[in-house]
Amino acid sequence: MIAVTEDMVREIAQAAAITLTPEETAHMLRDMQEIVQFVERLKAVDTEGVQPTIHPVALVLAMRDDVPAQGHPREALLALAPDAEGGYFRVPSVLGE
Amino acid sequence: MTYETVVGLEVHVELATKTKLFCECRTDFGAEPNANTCPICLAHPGTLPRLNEEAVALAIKAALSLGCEITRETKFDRKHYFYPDLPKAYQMSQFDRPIGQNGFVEIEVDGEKKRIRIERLHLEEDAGKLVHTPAGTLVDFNRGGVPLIEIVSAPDLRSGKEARAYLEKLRAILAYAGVSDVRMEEGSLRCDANVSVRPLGETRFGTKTEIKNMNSLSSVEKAIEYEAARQVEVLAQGGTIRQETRRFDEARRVTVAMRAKETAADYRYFPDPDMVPFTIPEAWIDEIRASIPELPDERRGRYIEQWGLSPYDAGVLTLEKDVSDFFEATVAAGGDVKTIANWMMVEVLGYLNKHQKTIRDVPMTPAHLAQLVRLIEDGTISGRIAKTVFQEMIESGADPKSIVEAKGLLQIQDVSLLEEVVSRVVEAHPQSVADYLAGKERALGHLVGQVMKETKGKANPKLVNDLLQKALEAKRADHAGP
Ligand SMILES: [Zn+2]
Repeated sequence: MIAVTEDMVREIAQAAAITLTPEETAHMLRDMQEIVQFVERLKAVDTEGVQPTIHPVALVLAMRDDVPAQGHPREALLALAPDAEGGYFRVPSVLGE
Repeated sequence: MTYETVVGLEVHVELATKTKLFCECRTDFGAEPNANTCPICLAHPGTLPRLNEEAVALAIKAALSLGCEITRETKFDRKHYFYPDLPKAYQMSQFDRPIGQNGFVEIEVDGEKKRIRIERLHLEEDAGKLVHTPAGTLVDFNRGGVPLIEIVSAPDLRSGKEARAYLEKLRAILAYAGVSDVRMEEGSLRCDANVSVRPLGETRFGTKTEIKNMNSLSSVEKAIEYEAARQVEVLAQGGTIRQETRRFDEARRVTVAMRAKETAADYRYFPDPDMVPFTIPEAWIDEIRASIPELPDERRGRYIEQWGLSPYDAGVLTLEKDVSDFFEATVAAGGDVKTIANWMMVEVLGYLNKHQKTIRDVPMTPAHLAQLVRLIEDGTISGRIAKTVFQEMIESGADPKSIVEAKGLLQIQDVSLLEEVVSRVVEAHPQSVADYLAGKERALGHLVGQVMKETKGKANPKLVNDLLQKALEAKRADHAGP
């Protein structure tokens, strides 16, 4: 069984760009340990000869035709952003790659 | 120690759909910034993706054209990273169930055939475009959400040259199949290379670097050759290769380190909960398979079988679909196939190459090229004049007959007129005549050249040759006479 540690919680938070307080970290640790324990219980089920499931609900995906729709007014979309210029959205500088 | 280069390519190709992968925005190249955006491709909260059926069909078509198996039950996964070109902060991609798997591309380098395996082909959405300015980074999401296929080769390539051959072939197959316009300069085909080196005979792989920012076929070849040489140099000096991403600097022809390579786990892939998995019906696959037109290898075979072209010529003429289509249209317009093939290979491709143009950039039509070849065949113009006419024809788009008439380039077929010039030349060059009569056959060539010069290249060379020989033999008879 995977042992969830505080370091692991911090790494995951960092990968998701989330800042956690020490209280939140402790809370997350508890939650994540419970999730892992739950998965351990599921592992006990005998799945011999059962096809793997990739989605729990048997739905048929509806696809759409490749037909362009009337465009959305660009100015209205740009107006929703914190900053825009010359038809572009503007974000803080991304320093060299 | 001798080292061997190991290369695998990751190629991204924009599919030729009218709309984006998950929304009804247009995919046109060159629109005003953000003109082709909507709440879905801008990731507004509460919006949901709706999959474009044509994109899936084209991905299947590409996969089948590359000999892939189709994954019948497939799905989309989220690939997470934070960058302003990605409004959702994840990219919709496919992780463990790519639409196509286990395909291949056959290449031929220096006469040697080789099969390059394709590990996977998956569907994903493109990201937006960033413009860096002193006053911040500007974002254009027109390309964001445009359907792409990513084609990952096995590490089967052993040189920059092989990588280029693979890419050329891949591009040809996708263009013939009609799944993309595969233009590197417009970004509808992009290529990253994984490069490592290892001592010859070693079976394990060395540490690889990933090369980005290669904008043409020749830069792919050069970047790989440079990078392999750099790695060998590092190892020769006792150093180790760092796993990193490097950028090709086109101007300096070197690769430059960008960042340490993120591992796959950093992307935190998981199945996209906004989309349900989907099953590709067998009947749909059959229907798409039946719609695949003739692919480059088949066409090449046909040129060899049906028209008797050499394997090399047939290969060159089928490498680009537009060129091959032009060639076939010219043949259909009438004329000797081998002569047309020769004009295509030498003059047309030579011109395009020299001027960095594609066949679509020039105003010349297949009918004009066919007409030019017929003008040579029926003796109206000489082969040499034809080259002058060709230059004008490919540049102006005028038809060859009018060029010939306007410039007075008609070949001189008039025997009496040519006889006059021939006798003048014979008189003016006694030394050449003497040489010829003394058995120096080469002197004849010199005299033919003189006649051509006098007639500004318009004389029928065969006729000149015959008349000259006649005149010279007459001289011989005189000398030998009583
Ligand atoms: Zn959209």
